[in-house]
Amino acid sequence: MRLRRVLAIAERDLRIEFSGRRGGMLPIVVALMLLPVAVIPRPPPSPPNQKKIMVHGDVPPEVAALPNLVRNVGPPRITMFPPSPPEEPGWRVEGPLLPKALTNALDSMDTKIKVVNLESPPWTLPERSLLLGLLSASMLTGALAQSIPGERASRTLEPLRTASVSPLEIVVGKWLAWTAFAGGMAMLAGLVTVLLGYQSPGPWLVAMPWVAAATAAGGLWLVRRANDVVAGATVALRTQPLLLAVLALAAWVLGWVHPLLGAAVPLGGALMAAGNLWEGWAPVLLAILSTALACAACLVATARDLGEREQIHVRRGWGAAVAMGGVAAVTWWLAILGPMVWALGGASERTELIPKVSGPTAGMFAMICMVVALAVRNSKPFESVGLVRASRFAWVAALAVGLVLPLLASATDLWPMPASPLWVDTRTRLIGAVTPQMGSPALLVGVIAAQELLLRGWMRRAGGGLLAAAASVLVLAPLDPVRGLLEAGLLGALVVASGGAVLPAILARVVGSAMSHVVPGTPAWLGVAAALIVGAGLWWAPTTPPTPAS
Amino acid sequence: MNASRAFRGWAWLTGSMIQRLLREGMVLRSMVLPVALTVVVMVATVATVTWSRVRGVAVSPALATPEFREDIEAAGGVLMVSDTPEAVVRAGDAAFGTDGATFWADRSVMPSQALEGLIRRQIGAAWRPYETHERRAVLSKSDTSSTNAIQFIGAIFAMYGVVFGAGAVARDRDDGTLDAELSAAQPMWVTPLARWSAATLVLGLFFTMSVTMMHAVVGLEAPWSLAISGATASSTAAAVGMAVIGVGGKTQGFAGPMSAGLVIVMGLFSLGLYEPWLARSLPVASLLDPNLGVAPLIGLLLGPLYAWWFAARVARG
Repeated sequence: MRLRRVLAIAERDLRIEFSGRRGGMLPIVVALMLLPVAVIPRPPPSPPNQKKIMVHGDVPPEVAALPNLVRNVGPPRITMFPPSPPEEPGWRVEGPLLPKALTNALDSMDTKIKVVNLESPPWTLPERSLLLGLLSASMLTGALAQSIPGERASRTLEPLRTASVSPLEIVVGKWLAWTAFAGGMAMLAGLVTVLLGYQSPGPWLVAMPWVAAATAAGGLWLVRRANDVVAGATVALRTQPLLLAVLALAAWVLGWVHPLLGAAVPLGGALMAAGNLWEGWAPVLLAILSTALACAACLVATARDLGEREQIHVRRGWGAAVAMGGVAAVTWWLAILGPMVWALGGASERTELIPKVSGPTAGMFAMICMVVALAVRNSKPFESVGLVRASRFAWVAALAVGLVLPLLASATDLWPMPASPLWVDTRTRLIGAVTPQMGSPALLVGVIAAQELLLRGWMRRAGGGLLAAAASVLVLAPLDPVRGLLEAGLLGALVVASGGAVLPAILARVVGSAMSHVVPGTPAWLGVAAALIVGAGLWWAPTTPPTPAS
Repeated sequence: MNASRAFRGWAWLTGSMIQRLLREGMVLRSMVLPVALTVVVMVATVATVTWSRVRGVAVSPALATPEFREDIEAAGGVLMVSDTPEAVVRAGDAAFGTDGATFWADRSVMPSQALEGLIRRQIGAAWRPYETHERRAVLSKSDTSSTNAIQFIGAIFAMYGVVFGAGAVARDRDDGTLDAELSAAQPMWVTPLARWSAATLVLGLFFTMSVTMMHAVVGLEAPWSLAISGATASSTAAAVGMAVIGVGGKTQGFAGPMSAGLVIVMGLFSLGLYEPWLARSLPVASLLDPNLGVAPLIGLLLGPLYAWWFAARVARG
């Protein structure tokens, strides 16, 4: 690696950014963000137990003596009830997370019983220099998005790669430019803090530029394949804060066990060291070493992939269909069964608060997003999700299928289920998710349309009818497979007979849902027989060639 | 130039822009990640807390009556009989312990008020924490943590709005797409308005999906007003992003204007955190106001306003 070339690349990157008409904007914005953090005086430490304690109901004298007690004001988060012997010999205190001052006052009433609270040691938090490092690094999003993806979109990256500069020199040059800028700004702000006497100088000043260095290296690696600034900036925006938060948290938690353990976390260690969390040079030097190694790995990986770019291709075939089926299943189950998690965790009151209609609504929006994203990747977006014109026969067949669907309700009993309440509740929620009882006919139609466009529109074209049927059972009726399979087969046959059009299947399901009120309970064999007869009729019916919808 | 031609041009360009945005896998993943991550983290947290909760209650043999054991087990606890309850608590096997004269409570673990209440009643303590299902239901209803989470996801979407706005103009100016569109026989405002509407529609759809998913799993107090506020916050941010980049390309500097756009949008959001009346009046800040006021409407007007300004700037050359 030749230093002169690296410096030339660095200078070029900075010149592109700073020489334009708005070139001065970045340093001004960074300075405006950093200076207030650096110069605002440290707030005086607040005296302990100054937070108001809001209590409703009667209070014993020990609690009434608390200087910061506020009684019967605001919402009743804490309510106290006096003793009512013999059932309740003591005071009852209702409320979550009771303040320590209040529990201490209540404990002081006990003369016979001694209360010993075993508590964790108090947490040590990093100083303001951590925020300076974070802010300067967070300002690199646009610069990094421009650095590789921007050059790729402007077609200036290719000439650079064909010149006598190696990919590693290009990447290191770009990294150096933005590390020097953000690291330098952070150090300057840190020095201002020291000069004003808000933080004493120490090894943290040396660790500070390494936050920017690791953010720049990680950022370049993240955007290495992005095709333009939009993709580059969004990937940096979504991933960088997450990485910073996770690694900082890991370093902070591990630093509790031993500072050197926390310092060994790349980037997280540098962040905590920049925040002056640990004393002495050893953790700081280790944090710099681990971060430098991570930077080197990111830069080498970025240089290796510099010639590659994100492929915008339409994924088809079994693999794509199976993957999408999995995503659809997880999304639908999460929306419908998600509230049950609270009950399992011991907070059944939250499960009861979540309206049942919210699950199908969320599932509908998630499936609409999937359908839109899949359709726009295709050269024929409408056709790719089954939005083609259907023949008159298809509409008549849809009505017939719609009449058969309610008869299948009894088929649920053909699949034995464990009697456990959890299984029963899960199956009831999944079966009852798409019914007229959900309240709004528009929502019912919306949910059915989203499901059909994804499962029998896109999925059938991408992976075939068999896979679409399997996905339909997996997503909609995993615990009711007999009925699910019969419905999937019937609707799949209808779509095939309609020449790939999904609209008749949507109509059939809407009619079926509406008729479920009218059709009385029938024996299971009747539904199965009707489904097999109508399904066979559709299978041997002449297939209509698809016509694109206008 | 008739209006229907302009409208058709706007519709086609908006559709094309939506297609370009959603074809990028990185962009698509960015819009799904915030809510996926939040929901997964929430569910994982509940699971972890449930499984790792210390359920033990250590008592000396004299206190371990059958009735007490029954009560503890009904509250989801495990009664541990020991001659040295203190040692059991210090070892981390029990959250609470007592020998009748001393009560030990490990406050470093998730406390169970029900178990603490039972053990305090058993030893005749002067007070005990008390909770009922109804009371917890009231508290759950007033819990704002899920609303706060979706408000911050809304802030992330607003930042995406800046990126979509600034990036779409700068990228298309540099690769010539913008000039090609501006030379077409249609009003100048169609090109910027299409970019803004595409960003608004894509971000609005995915943010609404995020809100409904959070509402389905965690429960939100006012999901639809949150969805509308978030969608308009994104549209405001897209207009801000376009405005800060102006009519220029990346050769006039990209990182600076984009950072300025991000700071403006996050500044608006922070103002809403600082003062509730600002949350009622300012776009983006309105994400923090549960009631829909005029702020979302102001945000929606910024896009057409930007399109008009852009057209005027381009017309001036």
